[in-house]
Amino acid sequence: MRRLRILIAAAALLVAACGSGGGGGGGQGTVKAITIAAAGPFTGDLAPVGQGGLHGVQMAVDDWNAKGGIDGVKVQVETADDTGKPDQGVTLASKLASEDAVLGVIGPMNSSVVLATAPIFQRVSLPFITESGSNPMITESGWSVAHRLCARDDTQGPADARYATSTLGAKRIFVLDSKTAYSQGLADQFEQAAKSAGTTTQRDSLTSGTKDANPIATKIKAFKPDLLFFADEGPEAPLVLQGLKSQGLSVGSGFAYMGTDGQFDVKQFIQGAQGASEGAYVSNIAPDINSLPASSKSFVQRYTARYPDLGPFDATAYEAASVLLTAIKDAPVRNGKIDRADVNRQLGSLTYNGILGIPVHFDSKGDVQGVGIFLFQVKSGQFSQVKAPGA
Amino acid sequence: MDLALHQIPQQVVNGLVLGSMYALIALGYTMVYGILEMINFAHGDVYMAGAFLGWGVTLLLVRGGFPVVAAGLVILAMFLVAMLGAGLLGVTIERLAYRPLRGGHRLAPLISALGVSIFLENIVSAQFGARAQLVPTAHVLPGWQVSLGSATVSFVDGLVVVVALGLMVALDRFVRRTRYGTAMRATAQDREAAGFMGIRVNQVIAVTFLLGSALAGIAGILAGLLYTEVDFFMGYLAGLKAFTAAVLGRIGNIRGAVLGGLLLGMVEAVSTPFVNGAYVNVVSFLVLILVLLIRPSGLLGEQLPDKV
Amino acid sequence: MTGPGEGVQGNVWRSWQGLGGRRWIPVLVLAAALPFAIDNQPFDVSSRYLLIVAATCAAFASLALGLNVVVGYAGLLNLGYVAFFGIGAYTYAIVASVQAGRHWPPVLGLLLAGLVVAVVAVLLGLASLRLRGDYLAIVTLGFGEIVRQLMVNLDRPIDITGGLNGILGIDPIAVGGLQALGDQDYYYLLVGFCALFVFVMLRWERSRVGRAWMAIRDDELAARCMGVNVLGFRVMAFTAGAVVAGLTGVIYYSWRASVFPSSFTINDTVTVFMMVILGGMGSIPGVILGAIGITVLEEVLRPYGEYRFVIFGIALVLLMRFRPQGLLGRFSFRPRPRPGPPAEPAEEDVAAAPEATA
Repeated sequence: MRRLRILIAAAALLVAACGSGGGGGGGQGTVKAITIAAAGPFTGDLAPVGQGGLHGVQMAVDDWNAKGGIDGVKVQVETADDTGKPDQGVTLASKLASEDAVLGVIGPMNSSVVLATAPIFQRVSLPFITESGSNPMITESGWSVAHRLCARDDTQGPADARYATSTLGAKRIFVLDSKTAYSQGLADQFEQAAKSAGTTTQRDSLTSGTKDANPIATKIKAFKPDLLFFADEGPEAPLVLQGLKSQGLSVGSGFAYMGTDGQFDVKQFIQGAQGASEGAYVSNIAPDINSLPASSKSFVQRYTARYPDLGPFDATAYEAASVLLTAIKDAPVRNGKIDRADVNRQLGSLTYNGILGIPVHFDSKGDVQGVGIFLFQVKSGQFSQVKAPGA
Repeated sequence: MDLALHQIPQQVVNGLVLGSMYALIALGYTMVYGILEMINFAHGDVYMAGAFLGWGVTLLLVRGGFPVVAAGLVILAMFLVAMLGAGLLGVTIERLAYRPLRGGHRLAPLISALGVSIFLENIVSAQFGARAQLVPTAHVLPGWQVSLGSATVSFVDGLVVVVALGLMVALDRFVRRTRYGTAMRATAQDREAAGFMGIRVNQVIAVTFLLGSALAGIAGILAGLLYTEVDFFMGYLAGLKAFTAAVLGRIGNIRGAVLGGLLLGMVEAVSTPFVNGAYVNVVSFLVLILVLLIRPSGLLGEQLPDKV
Repeated sequence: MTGPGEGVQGNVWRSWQGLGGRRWIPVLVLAAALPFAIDNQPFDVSSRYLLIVAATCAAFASLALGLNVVVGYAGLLNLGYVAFFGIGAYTYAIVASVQAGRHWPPVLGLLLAGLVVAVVAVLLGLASLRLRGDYLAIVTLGFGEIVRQLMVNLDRPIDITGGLNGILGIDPIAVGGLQALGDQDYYYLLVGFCALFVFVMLRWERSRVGRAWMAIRDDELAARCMGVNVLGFRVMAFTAGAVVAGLTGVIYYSWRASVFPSSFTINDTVTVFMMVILGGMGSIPGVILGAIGITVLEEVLRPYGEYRFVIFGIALVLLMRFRPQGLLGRFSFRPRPRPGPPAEPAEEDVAAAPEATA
């Protein structure tokens, strides 16, 4: 009898706690609440890259709310911090899917998380726009809710390889990945293109999260490469560069380094490498906020004033959020509700002109034409843009 | 294949450096085990705490990458803070989480240690984020390098090995030649009898923790200088491996810990060219399991009879 | 291993009653009715979300029950426990998922997973259960790490586990023509398995096996002297816990439809430990309560990130010091009083007889 009472008390506690702890908007989904979610690695190893995604979304929503929101309703942002891990992403995606007020997601930002969560979003017709997921499978798997606002690996890999072999003249290339979906996919694309250009390559991995880069640095040095291509989300790159430097192989004459995307981060890649990244190249699928067209000047000023720590995907996140909000605004309101499928339909048909300088229009797969690859080099402790190897 | 062989000299250097650090941490495990017959799960996290304390010094004394006082002073300060802070932390943990459970069931202090470990790891990651923090060594450490054949030895490599070996020799001397060291060995051998002989057992245990933790703290700051970064999880892996080293040599035996540490470091480094980088950890854990299963008394141990 | 379901239907009902099964009937009714209660709940929370939490509670209750056998009954510190959770899930995913391109009948996959987990557990157990508590803890910790590393690295040259990116598109559980689809189906499935495990454990608790386990836990030396096959029973407990975890893993991850190595870290083992210790080692209703409590707490504290583990860590230390038996536990952690020379200062007490590893 006592046990029964304890169990009933526990059940009551359960329901009560869920009542107070559970987030999300109203169960009825009336247009008294419009929420968009920002998904990405906002804490953890990948936070330098992820925070930019969150800030871009927050700024876009604030700008819209300042102009009255959508039909007078203020838009809310729900943060879904997946720390870059697919299993967290899946848990959060289920949660977002179950909250009717969430009408769209900006993110997730890591390809592996996108691939794991897309089926969940697809099942509930919840559209998402990823500002940095570059794995081709994101838009080649037939998900109608999938959209991306950045270039794909199968564009970036060959473009980078072309630059490495033709412009930099590398004949021996060491290709390194960090074992994530993004990293392996991109490294595969690069290696394939480099091989068909006739270079000798060696391939290896440094598991994402490893702190000791000395053993792999030794291996790289022993190969005597002209160029090291490291498709990494960011944290490992400065360690590898420093490891190489301490073993006598520095970026300079005879040895070049090309990194990707998430490494376009001043704090982590330039300061974090303590000089070892001087002269290194980074190729990015998103434009540097300072390379945006002149028409976006005022946005750049406002943004850098508010968020001085820039990451690689801030601008794209802002643009993606603006596009999503436009789609929500254009979607019909039925019985005081906005249907997710309608938002998705709007996304598929609109053309948006914003800060990126190119018209944003999603093709039938969810890709945007005209997003380029941007190449940068570290010069005197700053990133300076190099003529893009062609998009 | 000769690509792999060509790397061997450098990997030997790497192995020596890595092994010295494992040995330093292993000393703490082995001393505590010798005296209390308990595995201090939180030891790896004390190492991590030492690393963070040393890093904290750089927040104060290094601005924009440049030290505000003489670089040598900065390094000295880092060592002192890491050593004292970690030592104090170790003693506190013993007092709060282990001593009250002494004399009870053997599982209790283990679970308590697990709790301490989880607490330390997560409070650091909650406070400082899960990202690694940069230790600005570029203008603080001399950057000279020496070439030995195809291997390059940098200043910090040498620093690690010299400091670690020096401390190990000092500890060995202390334990074998001083009166207090003898008291420690007596307590490890038979706690009850040592108490009857007038040895203040509680104090000896506290000092053991102090020394072991201080050494771990120094290992932590050495790691911070070597890898130029510290992160909340560094203690977990390093701790497991250092424990492997302690068991490999002989648990409870100081020279065994040194031997085990150096050996394990070598095995890891030298196997790197031959296995995919990621499998190196698997190698270490396999060593651990094999040693425990086949020869749990370690390389320096004799097979002990079952005492009933 | 003595099979628990060996009895005929009538026997089963009688033994169920004999085990105090009547007390569990209200619980079963409550659990069965929960989805309907959730649907009609007046709170401003998504019903779908509540159902997800409830199903997760059921899954972790099973896990806690399994660990209870290992730690609570037999006193074995298995710090790699979630590895078995993962091995079960991965085995099933490898033979029944879109990514693997194989679609075995799900029940066959389930059985295979159970078998693989059992074999691994028996091997590991036979090899290491001779070791004393702390060594066993480290070996199991190392084992857990090895399993996780294998999950991460067995993707090149042949892709078995999908590496860091896991296995996606896991097939739903299906028996005959019936497929489990959706949160409600899986809720019932998970609760059903939990109930099954409870039944099995209730039987074990009262049987010779259970008594042997507790004898070993409380005083191994004495048990050995009484002729108890210590190693054999330890392996049995170890394997039983592992199989529970493995089977739960299959169901739980076929529900989530994807599995990744990052779900099986030491923090996850510690979470299950918290459930068992908080609820009370050796007590079935205790660990179930612990599981529900910790799962709910995790959801509530999710916005605070790592701080919830800070609290867990402190809680473990405090629990060990002040209430090692948790809420409902019977394992008291105090040694039996021993005859012998009384030691004056209480701190110098050395209770356990010295032992050495074989």
